[in-house]
Amino acid sequence: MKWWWLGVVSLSMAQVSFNVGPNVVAINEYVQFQVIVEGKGSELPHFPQGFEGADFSLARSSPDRQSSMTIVNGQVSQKMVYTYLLKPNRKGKVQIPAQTIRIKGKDYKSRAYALEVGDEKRSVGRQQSRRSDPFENFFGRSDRRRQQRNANAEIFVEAEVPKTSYYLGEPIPFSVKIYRTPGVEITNSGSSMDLPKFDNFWSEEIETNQEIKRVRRDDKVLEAILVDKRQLFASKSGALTIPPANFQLTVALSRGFFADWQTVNRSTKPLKIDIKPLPASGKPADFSGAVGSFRVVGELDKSKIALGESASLKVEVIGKGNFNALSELSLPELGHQFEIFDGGAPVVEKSGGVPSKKTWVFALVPKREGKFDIALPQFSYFDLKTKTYKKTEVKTFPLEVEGGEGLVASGPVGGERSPLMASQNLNYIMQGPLGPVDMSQKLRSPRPLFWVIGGFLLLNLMLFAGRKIRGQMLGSAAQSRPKLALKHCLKTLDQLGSEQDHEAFHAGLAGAIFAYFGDKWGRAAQGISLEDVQDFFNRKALDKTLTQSLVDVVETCEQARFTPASAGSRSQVLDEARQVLRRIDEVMA
Amino acid sequence: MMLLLLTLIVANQDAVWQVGNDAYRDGDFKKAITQYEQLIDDGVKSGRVYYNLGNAYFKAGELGPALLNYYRAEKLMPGDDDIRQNIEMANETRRDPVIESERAGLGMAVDKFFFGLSYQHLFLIAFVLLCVAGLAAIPLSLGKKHRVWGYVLVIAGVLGLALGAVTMLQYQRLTANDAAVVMVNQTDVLAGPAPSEPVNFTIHEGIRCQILEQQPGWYRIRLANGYNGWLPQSDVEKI
Repeated sequence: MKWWWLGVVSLSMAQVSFNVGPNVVAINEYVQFQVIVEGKGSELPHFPQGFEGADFSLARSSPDRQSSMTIVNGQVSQKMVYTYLLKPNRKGKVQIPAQTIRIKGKDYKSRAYALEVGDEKRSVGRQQSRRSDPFENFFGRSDRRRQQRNANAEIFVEAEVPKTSYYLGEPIPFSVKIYRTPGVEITNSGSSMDLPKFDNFWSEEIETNQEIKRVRRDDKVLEAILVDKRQLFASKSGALTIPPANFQLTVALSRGFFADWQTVNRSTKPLKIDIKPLPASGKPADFSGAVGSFRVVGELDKSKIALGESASLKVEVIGKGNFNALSELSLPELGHQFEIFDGGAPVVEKSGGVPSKKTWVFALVPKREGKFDIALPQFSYFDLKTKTYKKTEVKTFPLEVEGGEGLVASGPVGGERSPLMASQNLNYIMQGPLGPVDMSQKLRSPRPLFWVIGGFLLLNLMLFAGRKIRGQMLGSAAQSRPKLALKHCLKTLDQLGSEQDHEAFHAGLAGAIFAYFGDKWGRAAQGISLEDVQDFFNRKALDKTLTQSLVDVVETCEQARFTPASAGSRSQVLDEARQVLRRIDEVMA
Repeated sequence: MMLLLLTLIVANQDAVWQVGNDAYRDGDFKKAITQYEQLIDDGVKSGRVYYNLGNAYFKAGELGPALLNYYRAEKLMPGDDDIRQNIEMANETRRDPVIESERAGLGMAVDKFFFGLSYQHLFLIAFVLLCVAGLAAIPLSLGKKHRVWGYVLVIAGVLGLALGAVTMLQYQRLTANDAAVVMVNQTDVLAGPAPSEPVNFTIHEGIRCQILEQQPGWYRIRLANGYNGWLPQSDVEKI
């Protein structure tokens, strides 16, 4: 007998009540925990401390929702029913402890509910039909055989994995099937399947057509409907559990307009799987996690091409295992002789819904001519049959590349050289004695070079400047020479006044006069003669008496050098010379 | 006593060197690497050791350490043809293309002409030429305009200045400590010093870069073509 607990626990702005049932349930059925919220507006309730109850667990974290609205005298009231499905964890007399529910920041508490959990239920119990078949009694078909069949009708679900122990990375075939007694009908309307979250597993779904097979279980003939098939790959080693899958099935014992459809809840048992780590010993350095059995085959479309042409290399990995671990395949060994262009994402072919072949296509464009062995890529994998690591076999295809028009046109395809060629051309090691053990040189700074440049530059500038200054000074003296000619001359004449030597006096006087003209003309006095002076006076058309006076003074000096004279005549000559020179200087100015 | 000890140490280092060379000749490159590394650990700073170590790494298929040791050898033996050629050879096998400006440009063009000479020789020749040019300028400065002095000044001056510039470049290169080599197979150069930063570009083992600045755990680097960004310090090793 089934009945429902109902209780109103709080009344405020929103009236909240709880409803739990049925109170008698099979281990593979659900208990519904309903939160009914009445009032204006509502908010999704949640368990602030989580669902509390060791004997039950939430089959789904989010509840089913039903809403209804009523308007009475213009007053609008809303009713929301949130239904949580609880999965019993053990059989016997169990209790759902008081739960705290929070709605709009306010906590509401339910009371505790006692329930009874029975054995796994497979049979489809005949409910009190809401609609009885009116023709059933009329045609008298309620025969004993049919009643017997209905009483034995079963429906249950099972999740299956072939083994309980797998290696990390090994594909785990997982399937979920519904077993039913032939004749039990299931309709999609109202039926739902809630698969578990495959935490700790990578899941790859395999397409199925919900195939139905007849099987014999416990001496009964049943129909097995494959509803889910997938491959799981454990992401870590250790004891892992696949949680139960939960079903809500709408079933009937017969088909037809008057079929008695009813809803039953079923769930699978949790599956415990032991995931073994891959052995550490013998693990190759290039092992990327491939587990299974694989082989690499390939095809090169040409055996001879010219530079500038391309060859197509198809690489196929065939086998069973986790093809996901083979996401990338490259040809590093060929990279130095060829430009490699991959043909995009690899193509995966499936067999029985499971990947069985992965194909990569590469275009190879040679960089240089020659004969090459195009090697298929190799990789390491863990072989499940031998429980050892293996490497795919070496397979090469010969390819001859001839020089062609593309040689010039293609130009420097790349500056790369193969490691082999580079290794062959590598200069050999230095041999002989070790030599100095500390070659770290304390380098002389190049600063002295700047000092040399700067020093010489400065020196030469100084020399140049000195030369210029001297020249300027000399030029300046030459310019002032004519102006100072009379002054110098008179000064010399003054000095001659104290000259005792007769000849030296007259020679000095004549010399002073010619020196005056030398200064005036900017020339050396030695080359100047009396005729030069006369010529100059004539050319300038100067006063002839002045010229004559000068000639007289000079000739007097010449004659007097060789004839004795008194001191008085000497001073007279000096005065005449001064007067004549002053007058000449005035005229020449 | 000290002299005896020193003699023993040098003899031992020479023995390790010979064992390394023998291992290399026998094709046992791993052993050769161990021997050369031991010499370096013992404090030997020899371009010859770094060069041989670079060769051993190259033969063992480790491009990053090979180039790192070639560059270190080049610092100690600038102008050595073998080192230069092997650097070129190793660079051509790396995944990243050789950036044109790595071997083009003024610096490398000048190198082609003058890197046959060591820094000391370059310095000395530049010094002498500049002195000659300076002396030749003296008579000209004094106004003695003799044609020979003019020729001497121009030739010695131009050569001296050119060699002086090369000397400067060499000095900067030999004393710089901001170059590094990528040691990992592949690394992403990021826009900033954090793993969450977007990737600017990706470089591979063996490429040389200049370190511009550093943050804890990160270097900001620049390639010869001007590309720059941040990468983990653990991915490169300073030359």
